[in-house]
Amino acid sequence: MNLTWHIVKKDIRRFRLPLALWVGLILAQTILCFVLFRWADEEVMVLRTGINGLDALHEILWGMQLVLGFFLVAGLVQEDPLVGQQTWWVTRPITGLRLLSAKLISAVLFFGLLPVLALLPWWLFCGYGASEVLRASLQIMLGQAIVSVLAFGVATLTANYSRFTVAFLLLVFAWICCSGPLFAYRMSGLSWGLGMTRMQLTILVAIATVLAVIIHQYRTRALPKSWAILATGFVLMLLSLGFAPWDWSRAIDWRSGEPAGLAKVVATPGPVDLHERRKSPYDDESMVTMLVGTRLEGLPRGIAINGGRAAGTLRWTDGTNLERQGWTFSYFGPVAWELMGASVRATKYLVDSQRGDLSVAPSVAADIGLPRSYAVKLRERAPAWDAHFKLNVYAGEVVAEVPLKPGARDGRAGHRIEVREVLRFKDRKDKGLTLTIAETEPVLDSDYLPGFLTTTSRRGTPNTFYALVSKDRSKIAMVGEERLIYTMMGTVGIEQRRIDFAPGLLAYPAQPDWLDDAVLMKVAFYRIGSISRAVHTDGLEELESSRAKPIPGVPAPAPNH
Amino acid sequence: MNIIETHNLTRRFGRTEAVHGLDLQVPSGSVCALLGPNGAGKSTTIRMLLNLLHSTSGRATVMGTDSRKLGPAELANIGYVAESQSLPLWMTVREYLDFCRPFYPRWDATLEAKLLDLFELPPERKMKHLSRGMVMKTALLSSLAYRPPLLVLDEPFAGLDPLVRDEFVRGMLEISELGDWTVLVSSHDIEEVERLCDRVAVIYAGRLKFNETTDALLGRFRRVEVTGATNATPVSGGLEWTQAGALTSWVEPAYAGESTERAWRERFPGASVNASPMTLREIYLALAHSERAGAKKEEAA
Repeated sequence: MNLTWHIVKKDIRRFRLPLALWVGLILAQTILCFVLFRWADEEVMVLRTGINGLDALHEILWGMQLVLGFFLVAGLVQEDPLVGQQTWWVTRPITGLRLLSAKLISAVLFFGLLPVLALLPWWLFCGYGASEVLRASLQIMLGQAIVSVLAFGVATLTANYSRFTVAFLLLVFAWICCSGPLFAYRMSGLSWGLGMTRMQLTILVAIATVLAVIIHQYRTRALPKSWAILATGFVLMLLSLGFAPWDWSRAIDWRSGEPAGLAKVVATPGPVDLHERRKSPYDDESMVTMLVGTRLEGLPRGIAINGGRAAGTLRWTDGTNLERQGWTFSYFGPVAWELMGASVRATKYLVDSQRGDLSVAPSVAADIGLPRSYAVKLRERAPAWDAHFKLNVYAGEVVAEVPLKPGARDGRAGHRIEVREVLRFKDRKDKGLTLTIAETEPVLDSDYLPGFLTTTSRRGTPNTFYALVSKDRSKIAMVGEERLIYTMMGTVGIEQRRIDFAPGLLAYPAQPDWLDDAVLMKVAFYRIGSISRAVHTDGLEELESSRAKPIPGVPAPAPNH
Repeated sequence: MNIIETHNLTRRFGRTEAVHGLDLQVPSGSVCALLGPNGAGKSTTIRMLLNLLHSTSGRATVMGTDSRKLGPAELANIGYVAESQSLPLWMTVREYLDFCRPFYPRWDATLEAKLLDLFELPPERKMKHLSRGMVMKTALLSSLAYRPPLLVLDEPFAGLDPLVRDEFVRGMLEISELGDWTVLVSSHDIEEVERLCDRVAVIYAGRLKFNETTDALLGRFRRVEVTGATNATPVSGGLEWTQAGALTSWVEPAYAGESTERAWRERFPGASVNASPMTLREIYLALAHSERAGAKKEEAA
């Protein structure tokens, strides 16, 4: 091990200058993050223009970091090359595996530990705890590893930078030429799960191939065989991409299983709300929208349901069946209020015909397209409804509680909020106000982690919910948000938001009598899994309010319906 | 005991056969020169010996180990210096030696200091700022400081100016007194090799022509000049046969002293026969010309 470290130390000495430049690029981006977070200007346009400029600069720096990192990996490998008969280490008492170990340690130090250390002050500033730091570090390292492994593999097969670049470009060119037709003819029209599985399998084969090439080269330096391994892997990648028949998306989505403690959750079907579809070029005019409300009871505190899929069959007594499926949607509000400790009860503002009585239990609505003729049939006679819901489960947590004063700040778990400005307009009839805040939040940054890997991440990007809450928790005001600027940097989303308290947003209008004591609260919801529930009703009733709505081509129901 | 042995060692590059059925033995304790023109297969042979290149067929053993299986234990006993070797030139001489040292349990710091002084190397200068000769001397130092029983030098004089070449050879001669080495040196610089070696192997077009001690070689080759013999027919086995009027000359590769001279006198009665010793360079050139002429004949045929 001492000798391995001896080689590592040599590599550190060799690459100290390019590494300093590389870390400098990361630090420069970190400084930009602080600037982005701190920048304030009364003129939104000035703010946006300036921050867009900084964001572009950040992208340029990130691109430079990527390219430099790519060539640094190649340099690290080719410092002690595996190709050619002039390489001096081969005639020294150094085994290939020892050299490989040293290079791997160097790679982890250079491209894993260094960026994490460079980003650590920024993360701590954002309020990252140990778990967030760990998660973000893994995210950075994984994202970096994908780039590094690829460069590492090609570098083991080439003797110098120019050959490395040519070989890499040729491989990319070959991949584009070969995979293009597969994308066009074998990937289009696939289910999401199958497509995702094929992509992930292809990546897996690619990584396995590159690892096999690396190990083989370091063990034997038999270049033709290593190229043969690469060629075989290349073919397997194409086969995986175009012909893999499996759908592993559920198995590898760590958040797809049912979280503990939800066994008692019961789904009961609610009423139906029929709507005319919105006119757009994509809408099928022969269809109307059927919103099927479903109530969920027994959810633990802090757990919310949002989004998912529903598939069901409408059955009429005359033997007519219609199978339909659609997306579901729901609302985080009641769970968020509960977490905020606000004693809000249902009022007319909070009863949503599409979602049921939100104050009693979370409800979901399935948005299902229904042929107009079947809508007529539904109004004539209530059908039975057998459906299966797969719903996303979210756990919410209060992550910030900030007084409404400029400069006030709070936040945890990577959510940092600073109040920039509190504006009250005397001429506003609703006595509302406008807040400008800067905030950070942990995200799965596709700069660092390719999108197709985010399904395998245990904690994704949060859904957030803001509200103004009076100190005694007796009043709450929901808010209308406007994102002024947004950028991402190293697992952190940075944004400046203008939050406007305006009427007509399913909200209690903010009132001056309690706003002085109010705090801005933020709840972050993270997806923790999903639940599947079957629902059944013998008679799917239409809401009274729905029945009164005129829908072209669908006669109003009979009064005795 | 042979420290290096090859058996039918062959290496092909596509259709070109760089080394053909090579059977080479280098006895322990000898300083063996592997001679041959450019492209003869010397470096290819050495690279196969050190597992830098795999043979197409045949096998080689170095210090009793199959050359394909040379591991750290064996390599810790082998010093290798090659003109074509790419060293980490970004290091200073000191850094390079510091890097090499931990890999060799038998590294002799005293010898290192002595060689550093002997070779007049600037320890704190980066190798990329050194002359070619200095870099070669640094490589040699790093390959000698652990007193390897076997030292392999592949074209160590190539590209060196005469002065540096002389210094290098003198350095080699001086260090040869410091330890008991077996040295295999490939070169086409015969004068330099002649000063160093006690054994010569000549390789031509990938084939080993002979492999024997320098003394035996110098002893069996003679340049023969016969004056007064007309219409003489070439002597069997003779090289570079020429006849100009009454003067006939050739190179005799099988000179065995008085018995050979007697045979010549009987063959050329009344003529004056003069057999003079040859230098290694002359022998090598005679062989090379002969091989080239033979190759041309084959081509023409």
